[in-house]
Amino acid sequence: MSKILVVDDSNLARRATRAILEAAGHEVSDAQDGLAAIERYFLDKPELVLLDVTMRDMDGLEVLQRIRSVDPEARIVFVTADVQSSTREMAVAGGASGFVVKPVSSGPLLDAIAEALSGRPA
Amino acid sequence: MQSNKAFIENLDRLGAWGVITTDTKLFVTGWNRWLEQRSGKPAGEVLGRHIFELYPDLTSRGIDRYFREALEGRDCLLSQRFHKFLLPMPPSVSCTSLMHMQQTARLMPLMDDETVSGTLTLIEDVTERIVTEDELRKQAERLEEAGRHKDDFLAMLAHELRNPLGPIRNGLHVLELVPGDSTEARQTRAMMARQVGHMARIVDDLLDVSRIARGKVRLRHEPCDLTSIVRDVIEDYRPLVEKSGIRLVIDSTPERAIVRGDGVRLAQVVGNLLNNAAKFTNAGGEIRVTREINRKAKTVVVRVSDTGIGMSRETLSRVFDSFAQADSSLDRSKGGLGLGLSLAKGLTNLHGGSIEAASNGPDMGSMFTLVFPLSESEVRENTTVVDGQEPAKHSKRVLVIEDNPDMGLSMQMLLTHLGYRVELAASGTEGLDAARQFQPQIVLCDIGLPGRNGYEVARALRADPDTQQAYLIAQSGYGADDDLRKSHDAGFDLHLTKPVDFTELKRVLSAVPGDPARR
Amino acid sequence: MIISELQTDAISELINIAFSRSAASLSDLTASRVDLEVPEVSVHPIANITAALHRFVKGDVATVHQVFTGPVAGDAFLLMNFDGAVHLVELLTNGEVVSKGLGASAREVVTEIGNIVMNACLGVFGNLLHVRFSFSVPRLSLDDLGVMVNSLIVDSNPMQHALVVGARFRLRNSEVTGCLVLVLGIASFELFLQEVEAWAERSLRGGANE
Repeated sequence: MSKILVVDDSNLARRATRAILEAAGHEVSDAQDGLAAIERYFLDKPELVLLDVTMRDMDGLEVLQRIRSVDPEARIVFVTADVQSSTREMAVAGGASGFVVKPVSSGPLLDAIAEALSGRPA
Repeated sequence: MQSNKAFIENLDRLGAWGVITTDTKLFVTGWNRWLEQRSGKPAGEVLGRHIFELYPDLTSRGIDRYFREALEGRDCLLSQRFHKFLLPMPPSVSCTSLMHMQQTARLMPLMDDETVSGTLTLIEDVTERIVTEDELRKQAERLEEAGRHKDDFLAMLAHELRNPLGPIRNGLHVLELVPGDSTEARQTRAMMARQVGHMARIVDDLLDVSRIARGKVRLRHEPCDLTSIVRDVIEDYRPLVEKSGIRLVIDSTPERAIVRGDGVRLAQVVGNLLNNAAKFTNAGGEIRVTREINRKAKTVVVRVSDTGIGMSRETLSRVFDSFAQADSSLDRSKGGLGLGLSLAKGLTNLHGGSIEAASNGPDMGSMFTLVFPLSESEVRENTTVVDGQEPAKHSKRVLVIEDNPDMGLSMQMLLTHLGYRVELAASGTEGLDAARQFQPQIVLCDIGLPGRNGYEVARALRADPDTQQAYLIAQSGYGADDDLRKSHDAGFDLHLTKPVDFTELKRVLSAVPGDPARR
Repeated sequence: MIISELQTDAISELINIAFSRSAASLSDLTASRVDLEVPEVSVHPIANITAALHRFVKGDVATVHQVFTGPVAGDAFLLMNFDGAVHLVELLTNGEVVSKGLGASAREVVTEIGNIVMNACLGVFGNLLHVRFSFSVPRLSLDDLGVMVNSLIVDSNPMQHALVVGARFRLRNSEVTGCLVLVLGIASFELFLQEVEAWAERSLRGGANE
């Protein structure tokens, strides 16, 4: 049971992800765009962020960098339809704690969350 | 199932495509004759085997994805430009740069009512199209480059022609202001003559290059002594070369080397090579001209070498191109159009000879080698133009038919000065009228007249008993064999190519026989 | 035709996933990264699509057309500005194709790109909506946008609707803009919307995409 922030500009994606997480017992807050996401992060202090890469105003990579520049230990998992291997590499290089491909199904998503949360730094 | 099979057999009969069918697991169920011939795999070897097992690189190249799309019901196009080919096969067109036949392919599902029952692959050989496209592209690139060179060249040409115009204009103003026999007037006229000469040389060179390119240069075919030509040209250039501090050395025996051709043009070739050497050699350097006779090979070899700035490999490859020289800023700083070498090559080739350039590299000097075939016959003594004797005092009557007023007037003035009685007509019709009244012994007629052209005038003059004895001279900008024949057929006695050299004209006119009936 | 908010959201998400797959296919094909902006999705009666198209393409356009069959049947068009298509071909073939206009090889390239984008798109629809889509051979035409839209309207039943997706890709530092247009008959469109809603509801119940 963890606090998770879901960031995605697609309404359906946010709601669908929320459904999976709440069914697994997590507490969910969400944001529609990059700026709101950063605000929410510092207001709600979630343990993990599920972040969409392709968003209209600020892309996921930039959001990740901004959050991590203030909180280097932030745990951020990318959720995206972009399956290019270069995207995955950029995410990892940027410090993402995980990578899930859309359309999201509960198995892979919950596994990725568990892994990201367990990898707490010593 | 049956209709599929018939459809595929029909496709096969067209014979122009490779046709492969597979089942839903991608095991090969059909392999047509086109494929057998071009892949070297007979159907017996291929049927029943898995397509990725037969061609494992399909997987490594990512093409397996297209087969899977087809199994899901989606047609796929594999264009040649992305994939080059579907299956590796030898090229059908001999082309050094292509290792495989270039192909465009289509992968489709085979449908059995609503379900997918397998895949159908069509392979088209597009090698020829690709080879043609590549050639066209290279040609387009070359044309564009040549076009750019021509543009640069034209700019340079305009500049070069404009330069002498300034002093000439000024000179005209001066001449209006000072007395005609003053020193100033004399000097001004001398300066203007030099500038006109410079322009005339540029224009002559241009015309020559153009004529050679169009195959319209008329050469004399006489025995010429290349040894004495080389000697004379060197002496002509010696003052100029030595003034620049360059040593000029000639290495040749007095033995005659007879070449069949045009002495004036051969002198031009040697002169251009010397001029080029002098342009690109600094003071303190040396230009050496050698002449060797090879009796066994029946050739004479003339070499012009210098210790000047030499040529890079790149420059060497374009040294005889007329337009490429426009690139060289060095050329431009020395003035002129840089056509000398191009002309030299053209004229040499027209004489059945060859010319080669060599250099060991920048600052290592250059060497130009001319090779001409030796002729057997004897040289005719003294081929230089002799000044004609003074025109008879009972002055001959000359009719000039010329539609360009400036040209006509200047011609009239010059001929009058020479002692002829001159009438001027500006058109064919005027000319015929004038001829009947004036009864000229000589008619100088421009071919390109408005209305009745020169040929018609000649025919009319010959047809009329009053005028048929005149000596008819044609003047025209064209001088190819074809044009000579046309003049002759029309009735002209002589054909001169414009621009007409005044000295030549003087000689020709004085050689015309006198009054008595000629025909 | 009324489309609910849920259906609109669902279509947007589907298109997002579909176009990302297209971008990935193009990326594989061209061995370079493809960056996709969030696609803009709208639905219009067939007679009104020009304004929507005009936001992405103008003037002379290259259009790849594929007919699809199955329970949901209709026409799919991918449109690109002619100059953009020529530029794209140059980008993708390193200038190996004669660049003035579109010769045979260049046309093949444009057709394949259209084919890939449309196949990826309808592939995703097919997988997620449990609807089978079958495609025909793609065809390329070069026309003024107005002419192309007119022929589309003339060939279609005026009751048909079009799903218009405007997309911008970035490839090798160049931007390519194009439009995907899916024209569906009434029955097909209703079935499509039905399946879209079903998918949305499965997602919201947390178990859509096993």
